[in-house]
Amino acid sequence: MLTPGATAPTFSLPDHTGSTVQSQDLSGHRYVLWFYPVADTPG
Amino acid sequence: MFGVSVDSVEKNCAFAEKFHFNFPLLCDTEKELALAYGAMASAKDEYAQRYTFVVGPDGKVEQAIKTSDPAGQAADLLDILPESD
Repeated sequence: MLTPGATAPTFSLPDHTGSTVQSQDLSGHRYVLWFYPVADTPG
Repeated sequence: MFGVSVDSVEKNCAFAEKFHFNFPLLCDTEKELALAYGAMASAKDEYAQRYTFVVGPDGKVEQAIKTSDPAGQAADLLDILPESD
């Protein structure tokens, strides 16, 4: 896994509404990426 | 804040509606982002592990958290969220 200090990978991905989210649009902002295994798993 | 999984737009849409998430869920169906962050060891893996990353305004990773306990992950997120924009 990436460790603190590493350059965050760029991305361009659709969100759940179909809108594209690009990492370059988040430049200058702090953001959180929460990885989860599968949508709607218990817990 | 963004949720990320390898699920399709349709599956994540249902997930978001069910739990009324107030943040977008990114659909990393090609596993590109999970692999880039190391949230998945190999493209052969079926899904990402429960990792949380905080990226700073300078584009650098500020925090990387691995959680095996979902409740613990929620607690970790609550610690982080007040700091995020």
